[in-house]
Amino acid sequence: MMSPSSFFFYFLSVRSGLTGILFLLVGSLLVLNGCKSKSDDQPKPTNTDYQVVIRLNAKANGAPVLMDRTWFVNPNQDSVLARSFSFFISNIKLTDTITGATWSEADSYHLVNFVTDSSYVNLKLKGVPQSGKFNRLSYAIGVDQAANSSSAFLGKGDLVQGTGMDWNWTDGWKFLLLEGRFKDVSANTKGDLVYHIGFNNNYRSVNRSLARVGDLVPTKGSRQILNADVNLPQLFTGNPLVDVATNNNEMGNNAFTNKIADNYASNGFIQLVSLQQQNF
Amino acid sequence: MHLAIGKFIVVPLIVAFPMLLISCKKNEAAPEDTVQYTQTPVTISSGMPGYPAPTIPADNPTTEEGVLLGRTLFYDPKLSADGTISCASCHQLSKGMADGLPVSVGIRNQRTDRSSMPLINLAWVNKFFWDGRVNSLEEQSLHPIDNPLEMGNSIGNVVSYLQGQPAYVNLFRRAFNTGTVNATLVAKSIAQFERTLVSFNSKYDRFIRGQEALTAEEAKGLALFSQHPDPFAGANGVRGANCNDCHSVGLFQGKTTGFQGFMNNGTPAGIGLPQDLGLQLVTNQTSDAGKMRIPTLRNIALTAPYMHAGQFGTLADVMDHYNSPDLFQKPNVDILITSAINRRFTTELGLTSAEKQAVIAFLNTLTDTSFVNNPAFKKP
Repeated sequence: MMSPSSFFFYFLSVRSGLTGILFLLVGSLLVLNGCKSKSDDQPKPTNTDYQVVIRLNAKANGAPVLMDRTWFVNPNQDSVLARSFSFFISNIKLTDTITGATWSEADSYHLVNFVTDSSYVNLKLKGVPQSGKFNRLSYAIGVDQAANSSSAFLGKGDLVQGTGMDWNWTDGWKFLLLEGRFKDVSANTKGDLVYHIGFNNNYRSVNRSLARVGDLVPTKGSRQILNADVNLPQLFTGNPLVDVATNNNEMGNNAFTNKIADNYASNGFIQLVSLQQQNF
Repeated sequence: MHLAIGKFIVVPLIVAFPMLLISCKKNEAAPEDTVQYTQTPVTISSGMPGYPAPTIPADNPTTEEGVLLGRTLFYDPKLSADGTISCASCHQLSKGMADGLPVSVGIRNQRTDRSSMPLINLAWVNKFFWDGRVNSLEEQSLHPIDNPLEMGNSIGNVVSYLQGQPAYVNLFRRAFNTGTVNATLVAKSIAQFERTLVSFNSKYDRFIRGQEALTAEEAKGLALFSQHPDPFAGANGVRGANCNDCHSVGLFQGKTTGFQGFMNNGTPAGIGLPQDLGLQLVTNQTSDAGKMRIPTLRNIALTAPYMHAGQFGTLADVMDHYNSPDLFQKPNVDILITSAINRRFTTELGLTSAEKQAVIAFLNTLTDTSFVNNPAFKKP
């Protein structure tokens, strides 16, 4: 197999007509650079390649949640500590329902992975056109059936191995992972909580109006930040409520995981809060 | 190909020299320091589409010249106080870049309190040492030099020694365009070499690329490895060894966000050592007690003994540990361990002997002989 460096030279040698000129240019640039003062002449990256950011704040009952640090109370009044909490947001689409214009993100598979030292995650949208305005946001929680069933999608977006979200060869990706501990105050029991939710049946598409936060107007020279709260207690809602003492170790495709999927598809799970503009 | 390389390097240098002489007249530095060398970039890649991208710091790109310097330093025992211990003393290629000992041994035969970590695929690692106390290879690479139990030297001594060696000064010039040695450049070059220690050509990788088949037992081992068991699924449940929950298939290591790749797996204290607090020593959080970095399982058959103080001599011992009926009761043992049972209403993993054997057969497919025989990783 050709080593990366020999590939580099192969690349140069097949373009031998240009090589001399190229190296002259490189050589003289190096020379010029070598005589300059120590100041940093590298152009600063401006990160203008994404103009729209969805900032997802992990919250419980209005307060920020840090992984492995913040206990919260769920609707059943059980206390829960999330050690790990991550999920896929995929197939993001923006629509202007008045003109019918839409924009769909390419390779739209974002892994939202909350951490110990920050309660929010920035979900960066690349390539949103700087024209028009959008009043509707569509997304899915999970990985669509095509990508969930084929290795051909590996490497697209955040569909990479090593994130703890790859399951096994036949079952596809975990869509949502919640691992931690619980304390059931009334029964005085405590234990481990492991929810690994996946399978095509638990893929959920969601359509949201932006009326509450205002139209999203991508504008050159600025970044639009859509602030949203990810409410962990919402995962435990339903009739009856989720009782972690009964269901503390759940995976597979069954009535319980279907219920969790319905909960993450509800508007209360990802709550749109505000839209702000940040100039570059 | 080699001729072509020579030609392409020599031509720009010949062109560059007179330009240098003209354009740098005001510079009073020693003439040889004004020579500008061209560094040849080295690409670090897994070559696998579904794997995460490696992390290369913007201020320390990998170059052939930097790697050569780092590799030379890596194998030089003169970096230690008494000239007996090099990086390679504890990171031996034939042993999967570990040392085959329960805990590593430094100058004057001093024992440290932790096992030498295998240096494999480090461009995909975000926290270094068993307890994750440093965030970059550049930082990590200097630590053993001034650790009194390891190389027992000072960085200042090392810099003075290198500055006095014309061959080294020449290597520094070629790698970094300066003949002035300093600690930062020592660290950068060792880190560059360490990033080239890439292993993605095991039987498992060839299986993934469709180039080789696994035996029935290895395939069964992979299926068990990947599966979190669920005894409540269907009539018979789904059996699993649950390895993938921490050693995520692909890189076979922990997550690389923050300290998410650190877990407490209930390993007992090392022989003659107190219980190691691991990550708690770094974060001061009692909930982090005993958490250690989840190392890659690539080349695991070569890196015995296992765990942070070499508590287990063989892979069979490791499997017995994870299968032990006592494990769930160990303090602060991870929930991914205690949530994995193969039979309903039990408190143990509960693998059969045949299942443990199958997992070990699979682990053996992670040995990459092209890695341990790679001449580019040997003493220059």
